[in-house]
Amino acid sequence: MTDSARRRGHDAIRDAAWQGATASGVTSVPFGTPPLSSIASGAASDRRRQDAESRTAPVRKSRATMPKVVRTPARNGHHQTTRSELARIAASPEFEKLIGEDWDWRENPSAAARFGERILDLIATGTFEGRDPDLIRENLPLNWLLATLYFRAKVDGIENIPSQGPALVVGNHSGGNYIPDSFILGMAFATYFGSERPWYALTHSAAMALPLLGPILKSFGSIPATPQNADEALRRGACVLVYPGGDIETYRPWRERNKVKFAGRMGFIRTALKNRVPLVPVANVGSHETGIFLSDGQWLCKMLGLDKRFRIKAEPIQVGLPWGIWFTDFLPRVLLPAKIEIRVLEPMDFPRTGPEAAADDEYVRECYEKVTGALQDAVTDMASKRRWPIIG
Amino acid sequence: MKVERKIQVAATPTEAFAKLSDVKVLASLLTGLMDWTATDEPNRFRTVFRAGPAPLGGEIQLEFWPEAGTVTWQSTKGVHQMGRWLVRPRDDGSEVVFRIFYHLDGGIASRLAEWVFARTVHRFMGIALTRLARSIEAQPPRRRRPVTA
Repeated sequence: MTDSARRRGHDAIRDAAWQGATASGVTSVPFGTPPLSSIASGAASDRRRQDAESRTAPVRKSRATMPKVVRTPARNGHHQTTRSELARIAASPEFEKLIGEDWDWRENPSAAARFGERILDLIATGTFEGRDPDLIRENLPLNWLLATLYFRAKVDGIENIPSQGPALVVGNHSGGNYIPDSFILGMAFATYFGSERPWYALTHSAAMALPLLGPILKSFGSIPATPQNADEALRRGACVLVYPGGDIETYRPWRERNKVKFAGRMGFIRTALKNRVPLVPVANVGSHETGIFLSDGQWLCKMLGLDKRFRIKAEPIQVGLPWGIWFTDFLPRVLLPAKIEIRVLEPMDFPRTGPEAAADDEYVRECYEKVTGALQDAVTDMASKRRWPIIG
Repeated sequence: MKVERKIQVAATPTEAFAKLSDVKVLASLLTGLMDWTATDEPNRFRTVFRAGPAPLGGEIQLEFWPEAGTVTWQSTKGVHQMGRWLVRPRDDGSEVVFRIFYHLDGGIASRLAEWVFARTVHRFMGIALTRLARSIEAQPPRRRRPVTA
């Protein structure tokens, strides 16, 4: 099963699980809030629903691994959750959908890896109501100070974002986990359009699942990075920020700091075409000079199995303060005071839009080349005007 | 935060106020103004200022008080702010006072940002008053010294 197919299947499983569980009387799903797409539309998207329906019935390899049903009489007339009930839930098709048809990792080792990924996604699931405009407004001055005094930031062309309606804002991701460019762009959006205008940033599930960081990110408008969440945010009329390059781009080595590296990820094009929204490219330079990455560590993630277990495909090997040379960007570090420049380009028009255009792979690739080409031109132009790294 | 600057102009208060009551002149005085667009409401304008790294959007409502020689504005969107142009008679002409009050939501960082921002606002207000004085006294704008070989 390919990676994308597996992920589609997983999303369908998550939605179906929630709907199925609620319909069958299971009042609480053991993984918190329901998925956003289920809350919003009441159902998964057509494509995902068809995927889910077209799946053949799973064949369990061995019934012997199922928990034994032990009937325990209820005490004092009260209903109690017994092992038998748990077994009934475990045996139900909804539970099977929730954790996957090949849930028994004793028989299927790859299920263990997928299970970790699913748990991460379910924890990270939030709601659109988590965004707090007042909190954003109150933190604008702090962001403004940091952007002005520390990063000497400059944002140009923010007026190119359409003044009304939804838009998909696509940028090149830089700066490791600390992503100062995202915060500066978010600040610029809020100061220009006001904090009331909805702005959501698609964020990696691993960051959203962290105990302290996750809720803070949600308050600032982060939502887990899934196509379904992007669709729903756009349907609600919000501007959605997406960095298609994700972890692969944000951890790219220092020598590639002025290179747009989307790694062939074209989902954002499909999202823009399907939802018929303008696509606004945003180029930035300088943000990747806040850290010195020697390698993106893709090989190490593969070796450690992080790509399969937690969808972490890259984790950098970097040099800086206070750790010297170290692996991962989840440890606190000193950000270098690099001059950050952000340029919002004009919205891109595509001749064909709609679900049919989004399903046309060749056309999607053309659009992808057009967007990455425009972004790379802007980044190259901005980088050519810098005299020195970090200083600007 | 309150920032105030003033300037003496060689014109009567009526002449000075006549300049200030022209919205186009008023917009031309402000440094860092990127957008000044009239909205559907009377005397209400959409404004965008360059403030540090990012443009600062908002909407203001202008009010004219000819009897008091005052033009005021108040923000209806964006950063909370109030401003006042005040023309006072003096023996040798008029005095134009320019005041801005603004407030940023938040805690200590916001107070610090107000203080940092005040230096820029102070400088921009000085430029605006100099432009106004030149405009009233019909002086030609200062030219750059020609570059010599």
